[in-house]
Amino acid sequence: MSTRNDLQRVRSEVGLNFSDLWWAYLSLGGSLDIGRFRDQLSTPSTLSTTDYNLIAQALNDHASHQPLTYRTDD
Amino acid sequence: MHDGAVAMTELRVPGDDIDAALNRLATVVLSAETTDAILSMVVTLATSTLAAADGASVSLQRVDRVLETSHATSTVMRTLDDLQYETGEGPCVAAMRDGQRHHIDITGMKEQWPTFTAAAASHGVNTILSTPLAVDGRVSGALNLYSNRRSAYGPDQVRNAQSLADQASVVVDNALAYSISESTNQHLRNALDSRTVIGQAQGVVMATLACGADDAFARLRRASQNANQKLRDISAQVVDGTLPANDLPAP
Repeated sequence: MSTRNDLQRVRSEVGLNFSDLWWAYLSLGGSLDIGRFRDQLSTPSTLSTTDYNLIAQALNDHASHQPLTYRTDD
Repeated sequence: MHDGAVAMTELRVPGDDIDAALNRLATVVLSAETTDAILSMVVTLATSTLAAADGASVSLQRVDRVLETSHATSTVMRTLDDLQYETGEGPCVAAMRDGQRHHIDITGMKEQWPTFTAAAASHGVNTILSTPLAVDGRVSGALNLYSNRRSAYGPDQVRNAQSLADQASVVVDNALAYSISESTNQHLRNALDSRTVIGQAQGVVMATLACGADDAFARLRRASQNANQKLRDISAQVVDGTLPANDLPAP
C-alpha cells in the first residue's frame, strides 16, 4: 500500500504544485477545503480512504504511468 | 487604439503641474479605465510632467517571474529595458530585484554595468531613474525614466516620480488580484465541469449495473488505471456511450 509520503513524492515527480493538486482533487469530487487538505496531506493517518484515493487518482491522472495504488479500506 | 486614448488627451496638463496630473490620474483610477490605459497614462504623464524625462517605460514582473516592458514612450526605451532583462544589468532590474530606487548617471556605472551603459550611451541616454512599483513590500515592476541630460533629476522630480510610481503600483496590484481571481474562476469552471461528467458517469454505471455510487466510482477508477487515461476522460466515454458501462472492469 502507498503511504502519504508517496503522495508527496509523486506530486513532486509529476510537477504539480500544492494548489494545482488541490484543484485536481476538487475536480474529481473532493470536498476538503484547501486548509484541511494541506493539513491532512502533511499529517500522517488523517486522510480518509476516499480522500486518499481521490488524491492518488489526481496524481495518477497527471503521471505518464499510474504509479500509485489505491486503498481498499480505512 | 485602446480605451485610454481619449482620457490620455484629457490628462495632458501644462508644464510641471504634477499635482494636477496626479489628481486627474486618481480620478481615472477610480473609474472603469483598463489597466493598460492607465499604465499608458503613467508613462505619458511621466514625460509630460517631468521636464527632464525624455522617455519613460513601465517594467513588470509577470506571475511566472519573466520581466517585460508593458508600456514605453518609444522603441529606444523598450530596447534598453529588454537589454536589462537579458543581461541582468541596469537600474530597472536592480530596482525590481531589491525594491529600492536606482537613480544613476551612466558614467558612474560603466564598470558595474558595461553592456547596458554602452547601449544607453549609444542612444544618447545619460541619466536613468528607476522607481520600484510596490504595494505592501511586494515589488511588481518599475517605472523607468530616461533622460539625455546628465544629473537630470533633482529631489522634486524624484519625489514626483515616486508619486507616479505609487499610482502605477496600485493599478498593477489590482490587475494582479484580478488576474488571480480570473484564474480561480477558470479553475472552478473546470472543476465543476469535471465533477459533473464524473457524476453523470457514475449515474450511468449505477443504473446499468445496479450498483452503488462507491462501486461505480471504483469501476471508473479501475478503467482509468487499466487504460492509463484520466478519470474524467473515461467518464466522458461512459456518458457518451463509446465505453459501455457493461464493459467496465470490476473494481
